[in-house]
Amino acid sequence: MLRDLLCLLGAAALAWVYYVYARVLPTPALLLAWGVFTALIATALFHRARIRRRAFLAVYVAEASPLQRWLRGGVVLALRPVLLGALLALLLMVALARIAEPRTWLALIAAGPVLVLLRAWWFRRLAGHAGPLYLPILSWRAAALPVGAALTVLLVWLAFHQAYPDFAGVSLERAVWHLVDQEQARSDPAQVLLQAAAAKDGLRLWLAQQLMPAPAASLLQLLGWLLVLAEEVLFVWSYLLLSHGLLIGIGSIDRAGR
Amino acid sequence: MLWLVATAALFALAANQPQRAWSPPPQAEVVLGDAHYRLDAAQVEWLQAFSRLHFSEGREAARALLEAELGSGLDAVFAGVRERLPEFADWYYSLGGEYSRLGMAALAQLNLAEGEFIARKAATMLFPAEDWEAALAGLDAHMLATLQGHQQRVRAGWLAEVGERLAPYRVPAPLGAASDAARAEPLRLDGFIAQWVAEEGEAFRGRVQLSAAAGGSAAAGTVLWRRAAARATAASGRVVAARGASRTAGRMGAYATGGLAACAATGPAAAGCALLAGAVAWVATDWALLRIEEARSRDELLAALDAGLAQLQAQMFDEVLAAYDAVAFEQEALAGGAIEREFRPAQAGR
Repeated sequence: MLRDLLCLLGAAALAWVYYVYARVLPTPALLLAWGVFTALIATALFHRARIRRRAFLAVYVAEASPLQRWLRGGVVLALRPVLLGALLALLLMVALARIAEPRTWLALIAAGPVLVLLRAWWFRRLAGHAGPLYLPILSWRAAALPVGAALTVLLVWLAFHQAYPDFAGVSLERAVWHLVDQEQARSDPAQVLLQAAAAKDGLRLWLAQQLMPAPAASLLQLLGWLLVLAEEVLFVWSYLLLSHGLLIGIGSIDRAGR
Repeated sequence: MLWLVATAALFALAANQPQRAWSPPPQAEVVLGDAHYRLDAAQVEWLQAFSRLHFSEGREAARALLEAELGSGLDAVFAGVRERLPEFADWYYSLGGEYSRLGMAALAQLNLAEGEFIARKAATMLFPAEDWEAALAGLDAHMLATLQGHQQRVRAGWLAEVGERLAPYRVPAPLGAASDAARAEPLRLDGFIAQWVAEEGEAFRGRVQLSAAAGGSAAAGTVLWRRAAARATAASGRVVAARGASRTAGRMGAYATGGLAACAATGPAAAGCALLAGAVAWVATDWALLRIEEARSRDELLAALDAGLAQLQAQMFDEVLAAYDAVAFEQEALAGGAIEREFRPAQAGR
């Protein structure tokens, strides 16, 4: 368990170190970081895909069939997790670099031990019910779901209480520019991504503030907050996948179950 | 224990360590009308050099324009003066003119020399104060309007050119909120240029003036007469200065003696008759001499006056252009300094 605790602390530390230097790193270093993040997330996704494939083979393909070897999962099976992992890693990196609230980091660091403890508890509880191959995944999901939900609620709550610029009476162009102009990074591609994210925030905030007096305000505001919720869910999901990828690589339970 | 220490350290770092910020190369905020632009140091330097060159060329074009307007304006003004030259020559070769000059010469104790009297007369006849000053004031106003119109065109051309060249660097106006409090004051080009052009207009308005160069109708008359007299004397030595010496008061005695001989038969009234006859003979002689002199030197006098007018016109032309050049030189230096002051903070990225 200590290994897992240290593992998730390492995941938080990795994310935090990236956050601290994200805006001053040159493009090659950021590409390297993207590669590491992608590898970790893709590892988690690939691990699940392989378990699903094993279950499929166990049920549908005879044990002696050569299909067992051909279908056990290789480059083709890894392609989807890698592509999805690359995309999620990019989103995670942009979101991490734009964290403005220090309490987010406290929540992410604190989520590590909670996850490990909860997973260990679920692991013991489910050990008599789940198959040995699926047990590590199931216990992780059972722990990650409530922790992820709590993290999402906390992040939405922090976003709700964050101070936003007043865009009342301001054109969309100026509103978007106001936020885009604040995003600076040494790496040009990183700056483009950060500014695109800021433009998205500017559009969302402007729409929310301009349309507030309209009769449909509540619906539009709800949609705006749903968008924030979706962003936070994506962020938390990516972060948990990254953590899980690290656990699969060097953690105690997942490493044993590979 | 290791985990606890590591977690506590990460907590502490995450709570206290801020994100490393990247400072991009300094950029200057430039405002032109409602449009905002972001320029880097090289672009600000280009803008500065372009502005200097544009306004310097504008001043050179203004000088050429002024030269043309001044030349044609002065031609028109001096054409009026030239039309009055025969009238002045008529007076000059008239008996009234002659005796006025003699009378004024007799009043030498009042320091009224002949030449100064003729100069005043020339001023009165050739440069009637009201007409002369009105003509010069009109030309001054026309030149100033021409300069101002030209400056407006130069400024409009500069604004259009700068607006076109800076178009790719246009950005939305920043929010005028407290978030911008830390932002340095932008370089407001139009305000700066408007103030600069207005100051330049004022500088030209006060100093580039024909009326100042001419110095009034009396001064113009004096200058003209002195030049004409000097030219005629140098040419023949007889137009102005020589004539007075030929008619001395001694002639009065000779005419009176001749008259006495003619009036001897009149008896007691012989003296009065002689005086009258002498006076008539003197006037008649003077008239005849004047006619002879007019026949000999009228054209020469007119030519000298015409040449003097040409010199006066050229002098006024040169003085106004020299005044323009002096003001333009000062303005160029001031504008250079103003551009330097305004642009330096922008170059440094503020």
